[in-house]
Parts: sequence; structure tokens; C-alpha cells
Amino acid sequence: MASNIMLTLLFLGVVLVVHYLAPPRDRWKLLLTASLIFYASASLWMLLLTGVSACWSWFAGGRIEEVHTEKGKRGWLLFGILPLLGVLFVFKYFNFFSASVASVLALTGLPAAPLVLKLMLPLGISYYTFKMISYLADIYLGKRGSEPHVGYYLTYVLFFPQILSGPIERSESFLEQLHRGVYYEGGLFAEGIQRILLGLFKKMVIANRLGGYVDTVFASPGEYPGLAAVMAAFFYSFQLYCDFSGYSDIAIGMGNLLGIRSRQNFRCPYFARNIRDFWNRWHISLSSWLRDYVYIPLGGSRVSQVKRGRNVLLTFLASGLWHGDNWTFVMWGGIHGVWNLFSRKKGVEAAGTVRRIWQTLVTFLGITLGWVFFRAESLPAAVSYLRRAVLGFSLSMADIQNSILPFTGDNTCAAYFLTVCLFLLLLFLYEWGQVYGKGKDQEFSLSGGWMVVMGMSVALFGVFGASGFLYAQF
Amino acid sequence: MKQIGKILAGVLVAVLLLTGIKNEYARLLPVSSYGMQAAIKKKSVDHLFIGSSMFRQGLSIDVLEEALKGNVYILSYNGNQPAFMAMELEYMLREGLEIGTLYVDLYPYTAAATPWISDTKILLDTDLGFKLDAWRLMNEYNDTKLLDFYELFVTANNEQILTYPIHNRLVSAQFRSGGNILTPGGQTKEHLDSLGMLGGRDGLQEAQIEGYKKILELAREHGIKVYFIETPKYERMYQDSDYMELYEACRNKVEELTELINSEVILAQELTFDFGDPACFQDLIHLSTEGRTLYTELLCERLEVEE
Repeated sequence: MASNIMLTLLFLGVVLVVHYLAPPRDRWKLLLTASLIFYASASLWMLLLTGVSACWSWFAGGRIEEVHTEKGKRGWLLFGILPLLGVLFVFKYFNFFSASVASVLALTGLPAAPLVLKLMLPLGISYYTFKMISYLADIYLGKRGSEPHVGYYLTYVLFFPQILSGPIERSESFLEQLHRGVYYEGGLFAEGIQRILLGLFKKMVIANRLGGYVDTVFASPGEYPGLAAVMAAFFYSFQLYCDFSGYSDIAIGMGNLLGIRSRQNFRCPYFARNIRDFWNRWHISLSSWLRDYVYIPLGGSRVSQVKRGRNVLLTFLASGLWHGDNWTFVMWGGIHGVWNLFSRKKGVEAAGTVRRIWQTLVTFLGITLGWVFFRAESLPAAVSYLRRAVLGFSLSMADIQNSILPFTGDNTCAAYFLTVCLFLLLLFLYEWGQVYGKGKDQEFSLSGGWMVVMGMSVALFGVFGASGFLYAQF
Repeated sequence: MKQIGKILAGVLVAVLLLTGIKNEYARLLPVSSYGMQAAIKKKSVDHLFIGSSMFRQGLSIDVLEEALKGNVYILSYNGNQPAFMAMELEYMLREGLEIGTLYVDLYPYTAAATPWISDTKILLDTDLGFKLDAWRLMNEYNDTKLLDFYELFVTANNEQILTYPIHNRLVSAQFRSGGNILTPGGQTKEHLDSLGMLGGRDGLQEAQIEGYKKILELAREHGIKVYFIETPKYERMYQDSDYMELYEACRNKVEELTELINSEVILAQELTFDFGDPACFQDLIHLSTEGRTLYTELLCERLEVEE
């Protein structure tokens, strides 16, 4: 169920019926039960691990509030966070760490076989661990009190629409809503449907459609022209965005249907005019988490230039590592960190249309370049991919044909390519409206016209076979 | 909420309507230079070749048109299986197509496949009745899922229809009378030797043998002469025990059937074709332009001898 969005939506349908039959004050019980069932459907032992982690962080949160000395609070904060990070390290980073140490030892002439743990990565571990850490940190920083109700807290950590790929919701707003009681609100319910529709459009119509092409070319770039490598890099930018933001929209929309409000996780990031602007629009729940719990505690920008540079770099390296246990992610984080250091603070202020378009294009190009490292299997693979894209590039008719062919491998490839272009154009027009048009200063909403277009696109052009989410693996 | 409900209901109705229209009437889109509708439009074909990509890549329309008397048409779909070839033949005959001689692709792997429409162009060329029959057949032999039904009836070919004016022009430019006019080159021996073999199968499929039978019955009913034709494969294929096992089984079965009804089998190995010449092959089973021309010339010589 957790790996199939259509099954998840069916499950939501059942939950919704029971949810609104229950009295508002008791609805959290249903949300918790549904979340437990959802998680258990993936694995019972994962549920046990997550449940124990959540109970531990809830207990530690209470202790942080109870003790009165700074030393005691800090002690409980560390005591609360370290086991969470330990579990994350063992499941997600141990093999990477072990292999890296072995490589370093090999360089110094000390042969050492890396110790490999064969563990299945618990579903959503990066997301719920960050949720729990922010909860503990907020109590320590005095931003909130500890949650007295363990049931509410478990509902927050395990909330099924968001366990798989976020957003990394902060405890304060979520728990406050549970305390108030979860009520049906027509406007919020309608917004939920619209968000799910937008998410399905991005995920099923665009991301899934691009996935096959991107996988084929990235698997063996040497077999395709440089133009195909360039196209696949750009298509991956769109695939990743539509996959992840599509899931976020669906997750937020599902929450809305259940009466839970969440913050937006993406704001048309490819319309960003510099890298800072991009990080204000991309995976907002993670970037704001890193800002609040890594960058600012390190000293933020109110320190010397050198230290600020260090803080920025460390934050982006942490962002890279959060995404996965591979040097490619570290490199990607490093590229963004360095780029951020050199980005001017006020670059997105008033500018003419041409300059704005230029800034947006340059930013998008740089981000796409970064995604090549993000997508590649290894650093040498990324470098060889970029070499292929640059050195093998030509616009000959044969290369154009061979670059379109990987879509289907037969003579329908042109139709698929044109359809992809059409849907990307539709997405561009929709987001243009959100950034520069009528949607600019409004709360989220999808006009009737867009609902018709997106609804029909999902039904008639949705690619439903591939239903996993890229960001679920992080 | 009411308005959203109305919009979504409207979308659902529109999708159902469009899907119904597509499945029944998409075949009426301007005809391309390949596929069933282009054949039906000819009203009468003296030599109809019906098969899979073996025929698409393995037969030269230039050579056929020059060597055979009367008009020629090659009907090929990717992975076209005997069970569906029979349905296609029946469909075209029902639509009024007159056929002089019929040449059927003898490719063991398609005879060993569980019935499935492997090329959605077949759906674009036919009416709803054909599709429902095809679905029944697939359903009988496969563990079909709702998603399969949805993909075949709702989403199949939508990209082609959406981009039809451009797509049809682009693809039609690659064919003449159903024959592929692109000119793919051959390979090197090293490349062909490095390719993996296609593996074994669980024997011939009953539905596919029934398909061969039905083709012969339809041919007898309409007075059509039938040839079963095997296009050449690279020499490594004939050394592969998995392939040869299927090959022998398929050949024996078809020869058994042809004894009952007036028809003939022409195997590639009966011709003086060089199966080890890498320049003649794109891969282990598909011919290059050079291979296609050479093979078609040899085939036509053989057919002339027959006549």
C-alpha cells in the first residue's frame, strides 16, 4: 500500500468515511489507527522501531521540560536526539561510512574489507527522525512545551499521508490542530481535492512519463548521443520536481481532506532567480528545518564572513547527506553550498523582464547541472555523463532521432516526446500564473479550467504502472 | 465543494465519452502508410505479408514490388502473434479486403508467447468489437488486471492521437505499402557475438497454434493461397538449443497444419543466404537493409520457381 499511490488514495477513501463519522475530539484515534495500519502494511518490525523511537522522543521531550537547569535540559536533549540519530546512522549511513573508511585505509596501504549491514531502510526514517528532532529542539529552545498526550504525539510522528515523503511538518501547528479537534471544513476539503489533482497531474502525467527516458539514458549514456544526455538531464530536473512536489501536494491534500492543514512544501522552484531564491521554494519543510536546527545553531549569518561560509557549507553538506549515503549527494550539497556563498543577497529584487528571464534560466541551468550529480550512481559516472553531454553533443538529424528514440524504443517515440513537451508547457503555464499571474498573491486554488485540464490529463494520459516515489528512498 | 463535484463529474463523463469514441472511431483518422487501415483502403492486395517486426525489418518492399506480379502490402506490428494475425486477417476480410496470396510470418517466439497485444497500433486500427475480442483472448490466457484493461482501453494510443497530424506524418514517412523504407545498417561480428540470447520459452502456446489454424481456415474459405515464411536469423540463433527446440516444434506444427490445407512453408535455411554475415543483421533476429534486400531477392526467386 505504501508504495502505490492509488492504493493509498483508496485507503484514504475508507479512512475518510470512518473519520467523519467519529466525533471530532476522537478523530485523532482514527488517524493514529489508520497510520499504524498503513505503516504495518509495509512492515511490522519497522512499525515497532518507529513506535519505540517516537515513544522515546516523547519521553525525552517531557524530561527536557521538567528539568530546570540548562545543563540538565541540554543533557536530555542530547540523550533524546542521539539514539534517534544512532538509528538513522545504522540504517542509512553505516554501510556508506564503512565503505568510505575502507577506501581511505586502502589508500594508505591498509587493506580492509568494509563491514556491510544488510538492513532494510525503515520507511520514511529521514522524515520522521527530523520531525522528532525538531520537536525536542523546540522544547529545549522554549518554542513549545512538551506534548502531554502520547497518542497525539504518535499521530504527529506517524501521520500516514506524510510518513513516506514528508513534508517534514513541525509539531506545533500539527499538535495544536489535534488539540483543537479535527473538524470538517468545506473550503479545506475542496483545497485537498484540488491539491491531490495537481499532485496526480505532476506525478502520473509528467514524472512517471519522464522516468523511463531518464532511467534509460542515465543507465548507459555512452550508447546515446550527447543531445540525449542533455535532454535526460533536463527531463530529470522535471521528473524529480514533479515526482516530489507531486507527492507533497498529494500528501498535503490528503491531510486537508482529513481536516489537517499543512504548510506548502514547494513554490514553483524552477522560477527561482538565484540559488537562495531556489532554496526558499524547494522542499521548504527541509530547507527551513536545516536553517532552524543546523544553520542558526551554528551561528547563522551573524558571525564573521569565514564562519558564515563554514555554516552555509556545513548546512548544505548536511542537506546532501540527508538525501542519501553516497558521495554524489555530498557533492551535490557542496555545489549548492558554494553556489549559495557566491550568490548575491538581493539578487531577486526589482529587475526588468529580460533580466528576470535570464536569471531564471541561468539558475535552472545550474540546478540541472547539480541534479546530474544527484542522479548519478557515482562521482565518476556523473563526470562521464557530463563529458558525454558536452563532447558528444550535436544537432544532426540522426542525433535528434536517436535522442527521442529512448522514449519508447519504437516509432511511437515522437508522439511521446511531443506529449511530454505539451504537458511541460501546461505545467509551465500553470506555474507562471502562480508566480506572475492571478495566483501570485492568493492562497492555493485551482481554477475550474485547470481542474478540467488536469483531471482529463490524469485520466487519459496518466502512467499508472510506475507508482513508487523518488523521494521515498531518501 | 458542489462546484468541484460538478467539475469532476463532468471530467468523468467527458473521459468516458472520449474513450468510447476513441475505441470505436480512432480507426477513421486519416490513413497512414502502414497498418490495417492502409491495407483495407487498398480494397484489393495481390500479395499480403502479415507478421511481426521480422517482416518489417526482413522484407524489402522495393524488391517485392519489382519481383512479384500485382500489388504488395506488408502488414507488420511489433511482436505480432499468430492468434492476433488471425484476428487481423478476419477483420480485414470482413472490412472487404480482397487478398490474392497470403504470406505469414513464421517466428517461433511469437508462437510461444501468451496472447497479448504487443503493439498498440493494432488497437488504433480496429473497432471496439475487435478490441473486446482481443481482450477476451488475453483474459483467457493471462492473469489480467484492472490496470491492463485501463491501459488498453483508456490510455493506449492517446499520445499518438493527441499528436496525430505530426506523429502520423513522421511515421508514415518511414513506410511505403507497409514496408519499412528506413535503411538501417549492419553490425560487426563482435557486436552480434556480444548480444545476449533470447532465452527459452515454455513450448508453443495453444492459442497461437489455433491462430495458425484459423488463418488457414480463413484462407481456404476465401480461396487464398498461403505461405508460411521464416526470415533469416543470425547464425548464433541456429546454434542456440533453446531457440532450435522451439523452432523445430513450431516448424513441425505448422507443417502438420499445411498438410491439411493447401499451403507451404519456406524456411530461411532453404535459401542460399549467408547467416554468418554480420553486415546483413541489425541484431540477432532483425535484418539490416543489405540483409533485407538479399533475402527478399532470394525469397522472390523461390516464389517464382513455385509459380
